[in-house]
Amino acid sequence: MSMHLEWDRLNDCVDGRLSAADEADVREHLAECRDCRSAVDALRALGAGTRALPPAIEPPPGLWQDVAATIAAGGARTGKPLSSRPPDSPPVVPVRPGPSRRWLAAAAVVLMALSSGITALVLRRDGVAPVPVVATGIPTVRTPVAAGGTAPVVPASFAATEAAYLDNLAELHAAFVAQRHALAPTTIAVVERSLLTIDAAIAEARAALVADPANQALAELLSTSYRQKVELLRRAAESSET
Amino acid sequence: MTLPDPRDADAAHEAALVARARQGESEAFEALYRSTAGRVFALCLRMSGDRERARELAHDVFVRAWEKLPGFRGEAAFSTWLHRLAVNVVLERQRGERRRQAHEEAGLEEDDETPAMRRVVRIDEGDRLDLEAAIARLPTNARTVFVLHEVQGYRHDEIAQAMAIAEGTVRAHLHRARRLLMEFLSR
Repeated sequence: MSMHLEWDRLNDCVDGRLSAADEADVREHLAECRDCRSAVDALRALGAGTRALPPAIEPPPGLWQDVAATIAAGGARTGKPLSSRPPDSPPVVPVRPGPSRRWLAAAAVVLMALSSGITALVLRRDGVAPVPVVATGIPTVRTPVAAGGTAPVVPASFAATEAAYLDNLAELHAAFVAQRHALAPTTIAVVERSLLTIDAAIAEARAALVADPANQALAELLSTSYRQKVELLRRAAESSET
Repeated sequence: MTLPDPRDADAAHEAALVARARQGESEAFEALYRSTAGRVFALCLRMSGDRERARELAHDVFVRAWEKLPGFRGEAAFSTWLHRLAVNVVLERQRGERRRQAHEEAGLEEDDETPAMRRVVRIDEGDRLDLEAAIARLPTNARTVFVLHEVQGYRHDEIAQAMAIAEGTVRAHLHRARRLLMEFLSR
């Protein structure tokens, strides 16, 4: 009996990539060589096992929210803002009907709950001091900055997402400031209080994430806080237009 | 009487969602995301071998899909179009890192054969996670070729074109991947 078949020939045999003459030679060898037959069986078993792997795997929670936020912010990660869509395209984020005060109240409640949740999570951790937010009375769109003047760097995996949120928030905040004269004083007060609350929540979640970059739950919470702020400002801008 | 094929209804539903998403309806796009995210994430995870990276890749796939949706003409099913897009997104990312991985080319000339090759590998349901883990351990190019060929069913020439490498290199990566997998699984 001849020597064992080469690894490449065994693979080509399994893949059906041998010429007719080669295939005849290989078959003849396999009929006599148990080791090579075993190798071919192993290759086929590997292929069958691989093809039997589940076609879908549940994605991590919060992925859709991040996709939606990036789309709303103009696709910052890919560097192709949605403004590249045709000029007659409708807005990226559909405008929802209706104003009102009820959403402001609901938003405030959600933000309070969110803030409490983040605070609880952060306070459970040792040695993580929440970053204070200076309450100037004017809501900020910037990431809270530490006393040294430079914001700690979030993990690279979240940096692009945060940049997208901040770009979007800057636009929305400018629109809110420009249109606040059209809002009732009570509405402005509710919006600003809610923004301060969510800014504090962002600061706490962000500081915790900087201290614990691998903590996916904190990344999700921070993303949720940013998303809530985007939604609040967007609804405020819509409210002033109606 | 001929019963309607449920796949026709699914295709019609998908086409309607695509049409609405092309008009900018984020709710329709979210519905498309819900129906395809599992497969896209599985592809990204298996090609990248890393869950966090797979999350970033899947994110980029769907953002890119939204951007490109106006150009989608419906000549193939949305899921097929999205799948190709996902492969391209992953390969683009890998091309950007190729310089860092240049050493892998040299690795192709490693030992040709180990005893593991000649052991019969049985893979049943209980071994599925082992197989997933073993695939994740493969070097990038070997893993990419293996997943595209064995899981996704691409031909050698299609993989060569997508990865901008020679067919012979595809073959070498595939054979190496199988050899390494057998080693990993037999330990």
